[in-house]
Amino acid sequence: MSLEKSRRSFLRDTAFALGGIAVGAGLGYIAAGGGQAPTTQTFTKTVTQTTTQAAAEKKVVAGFVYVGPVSDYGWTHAHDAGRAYAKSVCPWLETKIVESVEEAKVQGAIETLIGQGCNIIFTTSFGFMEGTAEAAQKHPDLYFAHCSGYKSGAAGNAPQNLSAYFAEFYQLYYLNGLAAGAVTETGVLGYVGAIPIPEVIRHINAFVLGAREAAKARGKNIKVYVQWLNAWFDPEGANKAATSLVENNNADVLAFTEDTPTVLQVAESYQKKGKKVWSFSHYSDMSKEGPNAHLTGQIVNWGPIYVDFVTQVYAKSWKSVDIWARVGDYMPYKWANLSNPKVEYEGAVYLAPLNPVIPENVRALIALRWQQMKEMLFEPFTGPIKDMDGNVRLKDGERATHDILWNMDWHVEGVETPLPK
Amino acid sequence: MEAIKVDPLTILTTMFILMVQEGSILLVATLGEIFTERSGILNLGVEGLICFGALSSFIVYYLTGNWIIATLAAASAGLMLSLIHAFVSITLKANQTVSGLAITILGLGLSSFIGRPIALSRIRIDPLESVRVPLLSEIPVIGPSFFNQNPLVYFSYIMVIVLWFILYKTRFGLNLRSVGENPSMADSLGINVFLTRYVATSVGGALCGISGALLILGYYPSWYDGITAGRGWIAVALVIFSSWNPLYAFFGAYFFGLVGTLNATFQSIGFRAIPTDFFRTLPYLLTILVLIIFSSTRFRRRKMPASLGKPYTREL
Amino acid sequence: MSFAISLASIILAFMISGLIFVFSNVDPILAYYNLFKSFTNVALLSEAIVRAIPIMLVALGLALAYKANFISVGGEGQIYVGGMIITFLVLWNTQNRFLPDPFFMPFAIIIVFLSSSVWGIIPAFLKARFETNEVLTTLMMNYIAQIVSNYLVIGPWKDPKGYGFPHSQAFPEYARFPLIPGTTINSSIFIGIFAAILIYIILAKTKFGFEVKVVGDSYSAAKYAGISYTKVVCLVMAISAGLSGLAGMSLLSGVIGRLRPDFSPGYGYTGIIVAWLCNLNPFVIVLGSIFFGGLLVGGEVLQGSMGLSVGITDVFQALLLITTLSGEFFKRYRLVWRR
Repeated sequence: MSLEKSRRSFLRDTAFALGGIAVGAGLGYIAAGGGQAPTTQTFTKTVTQTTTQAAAEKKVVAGFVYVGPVSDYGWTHAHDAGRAYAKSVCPWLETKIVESVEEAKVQGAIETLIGQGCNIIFTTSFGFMEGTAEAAQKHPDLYFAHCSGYKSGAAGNAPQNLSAYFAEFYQLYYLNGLAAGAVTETGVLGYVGAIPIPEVIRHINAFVLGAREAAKARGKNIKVYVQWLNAWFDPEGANKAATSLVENNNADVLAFTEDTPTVLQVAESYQKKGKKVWSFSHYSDMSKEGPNAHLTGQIVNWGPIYVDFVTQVYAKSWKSVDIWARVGDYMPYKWANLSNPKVEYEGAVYLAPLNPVIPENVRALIALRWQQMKEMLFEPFTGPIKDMDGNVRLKDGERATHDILWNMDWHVEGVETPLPK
Repeated sequence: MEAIKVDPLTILTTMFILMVQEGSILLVATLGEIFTERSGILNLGVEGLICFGALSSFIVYYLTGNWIIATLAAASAGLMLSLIHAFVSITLKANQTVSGLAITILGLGLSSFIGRPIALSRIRIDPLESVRVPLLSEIPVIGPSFFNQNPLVYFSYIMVIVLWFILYKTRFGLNLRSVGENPSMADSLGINVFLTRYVATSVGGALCGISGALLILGYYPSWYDGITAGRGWIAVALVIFSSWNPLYAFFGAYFFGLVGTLNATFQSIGFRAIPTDFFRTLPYLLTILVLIIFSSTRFRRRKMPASLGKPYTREL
Repeated sequence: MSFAISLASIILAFMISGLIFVFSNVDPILAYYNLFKSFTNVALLSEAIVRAIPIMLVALGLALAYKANFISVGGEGQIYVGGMIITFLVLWNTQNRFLPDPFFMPFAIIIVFLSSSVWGIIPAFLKARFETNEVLTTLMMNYIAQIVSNYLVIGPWKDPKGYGFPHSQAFPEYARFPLIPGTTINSSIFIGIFAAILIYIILAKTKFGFEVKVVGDSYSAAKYAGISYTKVVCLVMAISAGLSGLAGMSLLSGVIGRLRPDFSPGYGYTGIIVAWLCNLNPFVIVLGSIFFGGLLVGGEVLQGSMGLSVGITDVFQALLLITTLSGEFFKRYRLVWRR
């Protein structure tokens, strides 16, 4: 499936969602001037269509199965913030959660939630995929959405009452890379990686591409060293990896994929000692954790995605989708061509506040690239791209496809640490 | 791919800095458990005590901004939990192993339950700042690692000496050790076995709590579940490694700390012949190895408190 | 009398955690209602039983070890070993087709049991030979087994068609425990019940069971009676670890359907609590596991409806364990006093 096509189907689905919101909430998006912009005409039509049906629908009860505690520092906390957001904009929505669910228990957790009257279930860990698919098979009258997997009715490998969704960070890592390349003095960057799977590898690569681009403008070369933890949660390992990158490899910008703010805290403690070391936010705004060291970072807002799904149930307009939300997706203005001051987020994924230490011109470049990626005018993985051994992976002008991105098992030029076998 | 070039002295210094960070956390907990076990009480609740101590010190440090009060809070948190263990295993003479496991579960569970609003609110603290020891911190490798640390690390060095002194050079220490070796004989000599064991267990618990304070105030200044990550169990093993002697514990804890830095170190020089996961198992493999070596009769007979883990009942 | 004390212990645990509820502004009655909801609802009860199966297998094995006074906490690691072995067998059979489908599961059960036994004999042998503390060796081996299992599933055993996600290929139908019709309970529960009967017979009816109890009561008495300590603890741990290994197999073949990183939800540790609370009695353990399965489900209901931390389930379990342990004292005390 090409990116453009998925984008189109995505926009179509959000149109459905929009209809639901207008009906249900009666506040927010349409209230002020829904009919004014020409693009919303079709949406308004959907609205009238669903009003009659939706009036009969009582409440939507959404159940959330989380892999960690909602008090964690990353993944689950972000999902729960999204749930709270959905609840705040949809007065007809009731939510129930089960947290710290291990994989072996997912079916049980789903059954527990169904037993409590849920009619849509969200499961938010890759490991929940099989269990969710089986539950979807078992309960054809209920709706399911699974985060970070590849099974859905839309993909054709699961029942039609199962959708898949994921928020993709690699474009943001590329923007982080621009910031890193602009501020590094040593020309050495470090990356603390969780587990060497394609998702993390493409994040590293995108980060390197951005850093090289920004550094090149300063006439600098970039070297990137990677430390693997082989775990998603390992503050001790992250501390050691980050410190080693700074001390041994002379890195002064540290990017990371790990579920605690440890790497940012390490950078901050160097700043306190007078050494300029920078790091990022991960999942949610961590700028408070490193008031000096925080450059920017990748932030996810699952809220609009959850609103989308629950309104589909509310408006009885369910259609299985495979959402791969990237920069620009779920931007409020794309939903309805009007501005709404109440909406603070910039889509499902966006950047944390930019540190003023990033030069003005680079901040402008970041903003430009952001706009370009939003409209799909720019793709970080556009050839010519060589891997670290010098093999050409993408030819001149060639854009990476979904398949290349999802199966990435090579590092781009500039990474010094070879991938573990 | 050739190896990444790094100055050997830099590598060694980095390893030592990380070694002292991790080793000091282990050291304080190990000292506490040594003190407890010397009196004949086996407290396997260390992991829970560290966790509860960490949470308590985090809250108090956030509220007061004073690390000394925060550390005292951690100590009293550890003390309170270990008193439960003391009551169950000394007064009620229950199975100490099981009671210790229960304390671990209780400590972790309570921390998670009480700590939840704190984790959700995402409050943060500034970690303790390093204090440079004049002159000593100028020594290469040793200086920046051992003598440029936060005050609690210096406290751990002092505690090694203090505990050693108490155990071997004071009347109370002699009593405590004899209670651990032969409680009925100690009793016949007029030593209050129960009181001694209570004191040893609570002091040990307090030290474990302080270990948690060092962990969170020193290096991981935010609260989330799972922050202790099994350190308590390593500390229990280190007690055997150090033959129940505070001085050996110093070397044991830093040796384990050093082993824990190998993964990051090898990755930073691009050495990949050994997979990362092997290094992750290393502390545990090493613990087993240490147990085998130091548990064998030759080492053990002399060192282990003879009545460790055995409840004492007064003959009437 | 002893029953009354057990009951009092349980009530005390309820009261203390009730106090915790009150202090955290939670209605304790409502909380307990939610915690035990699984015993009022067929679907939830069935779910409780699904969770009870691995807990039961681990606890039964541990009970046998504890009878010999071998304080193993190695159930968790043995679960991972069992999981690795069954995955290996599935992968091997997929390539070579060395067994017809109906023979695969019986064969796998035997192999998983035996291989896990070998893993379990290691700490037993170390204890017998070097007097190493078995709590620590088994615990350290838990970490090792988990890391090795995760290494395999992220590395060599990763599903080549899994988009790089860390999981093995899905187990084929012949490598799954069939469900009991009309329920979500898989048939590995019969292994659990069989194991309970087996442990009971071993302990009550065999010479070996007698030896286990002698060793458990007193090391020196066993030596005096000419019982080989090494033989007894090694055999005890072989059975104990074998059962825990089957618990791992039950999780993968019965519930998850493929190897995944960190696949055990700490059942190995829950098994320890269950074994002690049930006074090491095999039949009580079967019921106690279901009770704990219900407690785990109830913990989820509690979170879902009242927004409480999962930690509260741990606190409750720990309190239950502590009060029960304390109750032992009063049982003993009674005995002495009456004489």
